[in-house]
This record gives sequence, structure tokens and C-alpha cells, in this order.
Amino acid sequence: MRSRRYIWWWVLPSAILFLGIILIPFITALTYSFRSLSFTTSTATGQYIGVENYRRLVFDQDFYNSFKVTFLYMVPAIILQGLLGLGMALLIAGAVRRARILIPIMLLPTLLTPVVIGLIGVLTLNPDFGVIGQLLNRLGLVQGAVLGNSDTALLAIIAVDTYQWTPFVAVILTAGLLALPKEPYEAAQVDGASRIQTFFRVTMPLLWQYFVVAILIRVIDAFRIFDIIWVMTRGGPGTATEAVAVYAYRHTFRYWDLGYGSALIMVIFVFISILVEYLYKALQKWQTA
Amino acid sequence: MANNLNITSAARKQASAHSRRLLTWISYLLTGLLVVIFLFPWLWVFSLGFKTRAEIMSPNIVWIWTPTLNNFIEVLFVKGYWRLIINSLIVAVSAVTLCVVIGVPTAYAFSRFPIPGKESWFYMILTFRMAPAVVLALPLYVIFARIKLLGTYGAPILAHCTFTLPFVIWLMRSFFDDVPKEIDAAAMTDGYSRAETFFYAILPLVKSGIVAVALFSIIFSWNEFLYGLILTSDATRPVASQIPSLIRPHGTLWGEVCALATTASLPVAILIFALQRQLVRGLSFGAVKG
Repeated sequence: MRSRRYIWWWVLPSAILFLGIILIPFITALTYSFRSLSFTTSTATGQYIGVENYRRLVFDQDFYNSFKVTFLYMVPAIILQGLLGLGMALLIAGAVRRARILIPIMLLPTLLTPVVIGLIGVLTLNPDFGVIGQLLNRLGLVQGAVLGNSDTALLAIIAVDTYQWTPFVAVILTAGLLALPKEPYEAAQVDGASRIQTFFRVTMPLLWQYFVVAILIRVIDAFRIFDIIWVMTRGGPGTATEAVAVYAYRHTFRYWDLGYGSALIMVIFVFISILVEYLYKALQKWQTA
Repeated sequence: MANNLNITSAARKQASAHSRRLLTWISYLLTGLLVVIFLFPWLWVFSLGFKTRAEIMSPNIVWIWTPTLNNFIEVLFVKGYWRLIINSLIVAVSAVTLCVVIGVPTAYAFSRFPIPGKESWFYMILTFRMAPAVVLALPLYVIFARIKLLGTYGAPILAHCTFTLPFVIWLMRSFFDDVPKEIDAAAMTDGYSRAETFFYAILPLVKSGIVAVALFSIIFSWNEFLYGLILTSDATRPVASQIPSLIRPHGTLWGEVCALATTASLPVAILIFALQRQLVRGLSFGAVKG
């Protein structure tokens, strides 16, 4: 009994902070999502309108567009990062073990302020004086501004995202490669397996769980992408790069449509929590292993 | 006959050694290329901070120039943006100190005590860690406006705790889990209370973990954009949140923007190198013990 009460002292401060800055705000947003509430109508609590905000959401073309944009960016970006990251990891973990000292340098894009990464994107892709933008124009691949064209703006976001996150995938896979057990390789050698066979039959299955965690974290991140898009295109041109978080931001902090914005937030949150469940299981399996 | 066989196998061995050495050189080359690819855009943008406006806007990219510090002097001191750096520092250090002080004991409790619904709590902590800032930004804005916290340092500090506290608890638990429970038991049979065991026996063992968690949290807080933008006033805004507003459709002072971005990136770069050994673990939520 005594030890039971004792436990509370360890978790109480965190619990209070968690309640105050996370749970109460979250529940506040949840109640807003059932109200007609905007800062332009000065009634502070708004009017209860049931599921009207959610009904509106179902028929909102821009909302579907934001999910479409998110997937159009996420799928190619993550495939690219997975493949390039695997290549990098094999390189680092293979012949050049000493290259581990290069890990911090490679992780610079991943950990550097996303706003600055966005700035790097804007400047290098500038058609007039940017190193890459100029080159693309000269090669005739793009006419004018990459970010001003709705066909190429999303490609630019994918490219910058890949620049930022490939090292992250690579570093996790490198750690995985360096932690692989030796025995299966000896067995494969005894059986006379070729290098390619060994890679697909031994390395990939063993590496798979590392892949799962890296990819899941990236998928969840894709729903969070905001800073880079905000700096590079602000969701434009039109709505060509308006991913879900950007769309929710527009409705809340641009239009001050708090009721509808909250409904959007709740839908995004449900998506995230489903994805996190998979991530949680993957991490759990791992930490107990 | 046997002699003959030996010769061919030696030759084969030599050939494979050759091809292996070639492979090593190719991988060195590729690794070098990768480093260049990842560093080049970064260095190029930072170089703009040391160029004059004419050199930046030149249609033929200027590769050799006399570096100037004018952009740095102008943006940091004449326009007084050095304050933004101080704001970032105040917000990051306060939020991280608060979360480490209250989060580390909680992580220990999660690692050692039979807390009811432990796994559900952990799942919830991770969910909120991974939710986009926009989810909590709106209700926090409304609540902070009501309790007159908006525009003070308190607003971004508390808002940054929304991702720092879950991160500290999650990652520190994995560090505590690495410490065998027998050490606790031994300390307690020696007559230490639970709290004394925690402070004198366990904390020293996870010291490097705490440092890593704190440095990581400082990076995340330093990099945060949305909360810092909407919950602050001009006087309390952190640097990352201010940079995008300096980019205008026309007449952006790119040299100054780059100078400010360079200054803001330096602390992060230093922390990354300080973290070295713990980078992988922090990035993968403790899953990969690199």
C-alpha cells in the first residue's frame, strides 16, 4: 500500500504537465470540433452544431486534395529514401567501416533546422541564381521557376525531403547491418551461396525489422510535413503542395475557422494514432528482443 | 598435378585480393561523393551569407570572391536579430531543463514500477510525440490567450514541452531498461531508500544517456517552427520561426537571410558532433543501440 502511493511522486509532475499542455488542449480541440467557432464571430465558445463540421469535411474537395498531395509526396519520397538509404548503409557498413565517423556529417540535413533546409531548397532551385535551378533551366528540363510550376513544385518538395531524410534511413540501416549476427553468413558460405543470394536470403530478412521502423517513422513524419512546404511554396502554386498539416494550418491560423480546423485536426490525429500503433508494436518487439 | 592446383588457387586468391582492393577504392570514392552531395547545397547556401548582393544575384554563379561579413553585421547587430538567437536559447534550455528534471524520474518509474496501464500510457505518449504541431497549436493558442500567456516566453517553453517531455520519458526509459534491476536490489539491501538508489546508484550509470537526451531535445526545440511563430510576440520569437518571414516575394535580402540561417545552424551542427555516439539511438527512439 505504501509503495503504491510512493509511485505517484515519481510520475506526478510529468502527469500534471502532460494533462495541462497535452490532454486538456487536446480535449478542448475535440469539443471545438463540434462547434461553430471562429475568431471573427466574437462569441468565445461558439454554438454547438453536432457533427456538422465533420459532415462538411466529408464533402470538402480540398481536404481530399490535401490527402492526395500527402500520398503523392510520401510514396515516391519514401521509396527513394529506402533505396538510397539501403545503398548508403551497405556502403558505410561494408568496405568502409571507418566511415562511421562520417555519420554526423551525413546526418546534418536530417537534424538541421527544417526551415533552413527549406531555405536551401528555395535558394538552390532559384531559376535566376540558384546552382540547381540554373542547371535545370540550362538543360531544358524545367522552364522558369521549379517552385512556381504546379507540375514540378511537388517534385522539388520530394527532392528536398529525400535530401533531408535519406541519411536518417541510411544510419538506422547501418546500425542494423553492423548488428547482424555472424552465424547465418557462415552457414550461407558453407552452403556455397553467391553474394547476391546471401544478400536477398540472409541480409534482407535480418535487416527487415530495421527497415520497418525507419519506414514507419518516415510515414508518420510525412503526415507532419509542414515547415519545409511552408518555406518553399506555402502549399502552392494553387493547392499543388498543400499537404494535410498545411491545409489544417490554413483553416486554423489563416481563416480562424476554429471549429472546422479542429475537425480537420481530429481526423489527422486519428490517422497518426493508427500509424503509431504499428510503430509502437515494431519498437516493442525490438526492445524486448 | 597437386603442384599445378596450388598455383592456380594462389593466382585466384591474388585476383580476388585485387578485386577486393578495387572494390574498397570504389566504395571510398562513392562515400566521398555522398559527403560532397550532402554538404554541397548546405555550404553553397551558407556561402551566400558571405557574398555581396551583386555577387549573389549574378546570373553567372560567382565561385571565387572576397568574403564579407557585412551581412552578418547588418542582420545580427544593426537590425538586432541577435536577440532571436537568445530567444531560441532561452526557450530551448528552459523547456529541456524542465522536461529532464520531471521526465527522468518518470522514465525510471516506468522502467521499474508496476504502473497500471503502463503500455497504454506509453502508446499515448508516443502518439502525441508523433502528432503534427498543428494538432495542439490551435487549442494551446486559445488557452494561452485566455490565461494571458501569449507573447511571453512561457508560451513557447510550455508548448515545446509537448514534444520534449514525451521524448525524454520514452528515450530515458530505454536507458534505464539497460541498467540491470539487480543494481537497484543491491543498493536497497545496502539500506538505500528507493530515492537514494535512484540518485546515487542509478543516475550515475545513465549520465551519458541524460546528456544525450538533453542535447537531442535542445536540437528539436531549437528547430521548432510553428509554436514559436504563433504563440510568441516579436520580442520573444525564436530564430527558426522568424526566418521564413524574411523571405518575401520580391526584394528578399538573401545575403542577410543566409547569414542569419548560418548563425542559427551553428549551434545545431556543434550539438550533432557532440552527440556522435548517441545519434542513432536518439533518432530511432531508442530502438537501435548504435
